[in-house]
Amino acid sequence: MQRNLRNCKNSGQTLVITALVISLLILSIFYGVFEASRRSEIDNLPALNDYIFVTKLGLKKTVISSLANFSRGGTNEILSTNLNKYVSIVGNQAYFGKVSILFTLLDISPYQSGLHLSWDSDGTGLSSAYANYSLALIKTEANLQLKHETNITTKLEIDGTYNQLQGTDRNVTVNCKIINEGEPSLAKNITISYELDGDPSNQEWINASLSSNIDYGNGTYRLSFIAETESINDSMLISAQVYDKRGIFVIANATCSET
Amino acid sequence: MRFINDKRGQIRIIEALFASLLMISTITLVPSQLGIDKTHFNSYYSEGSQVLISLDSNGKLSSLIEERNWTSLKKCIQSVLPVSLWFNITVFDENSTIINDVKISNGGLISDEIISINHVCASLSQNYAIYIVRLQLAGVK
Repeated sequence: MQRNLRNCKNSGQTLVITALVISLLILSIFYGVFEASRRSEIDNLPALNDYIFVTKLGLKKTVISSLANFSRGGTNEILSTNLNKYVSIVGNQAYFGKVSILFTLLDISPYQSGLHLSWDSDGTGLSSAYANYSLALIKTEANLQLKHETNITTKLEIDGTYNQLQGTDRNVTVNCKIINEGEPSLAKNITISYELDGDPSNQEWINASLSSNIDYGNGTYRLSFIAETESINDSMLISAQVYDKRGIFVIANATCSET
Repeated sequence: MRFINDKRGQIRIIEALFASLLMISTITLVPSQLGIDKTHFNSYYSEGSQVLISLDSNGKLSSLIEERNWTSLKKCIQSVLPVSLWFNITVFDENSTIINDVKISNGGLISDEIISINHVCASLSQNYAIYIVRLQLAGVK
């Protein structure tokens, strides 16, 4: 009888301890799984940030390249074609899950298919491209979606003065200012030409041979040349053709004032 | 007297305690060991990514590839990576064809643990092209 009671007591103890062990085991497994997934998330974060940065950089460079092409006479489908190519390649490089990029090109006037050129005679020239994107990253642990936009604009501002020399010769000074996305920028190449008779309808542009070219290092350039016009009363029409450091082409025309 | 004789229960308690301690320590130690390897991987990955990003940000990477100037590309990478790291670069075009005809590496492999970073590089020139730059890194064990 006493032996039976002892057996019963032992059986109770075993049950309690078994339950304790099982509960500890379950708790530790949960803790282990939680800790592992948390570590994985934190470890992947810098790499994911780099990946998103590289993708945004690639999109920006694609827009710059497309604008460079369009401003040099390319078709206005170039931006859409290039972005499709980039999106397709990035979509196939699945490091962090499935990547999907949807892009929209600005089609509100004056933009057409995300591109816009405005090369006026009032001393301002503008080459611009605009696109916005929605980047979706479908991961196993979590999904990520972010919106991003790229606006690439090269603006050229010119003004000029001249003083009459002997005969029909004039000493012309032109100030050029190059602006990229609102910030002063540098030029790769600047060409100045002037209208022979000051009448733009007959398009008799003469390439100016620059006597001086001062680069102020802040996107401002001062260029001087001697122009020989057809008659002494012709207005002094100048044209500046600039390639910025990114290879984007822009033209601005202006009429110089006499000093 | 009864307590002294009833040793089976005590043994079981101690056994269960040891077993649970063993299980907990195993489960908590495994992720931390994995973490050590991952930290190693992450530091190489981060270092390699930063090198490629800094070269790509100003358009240098794509212009060197377009010029097929593999010597300068190797020098650029070599100048920014620590000397203790081995690297090898392979450049692919859009059709996944290797375009570097010479090996862009700083010597022989010094470790079996190689990490690989694939970087999609878009060109800045008006003739648009996309390159995939694969940077392989390994350190001294």
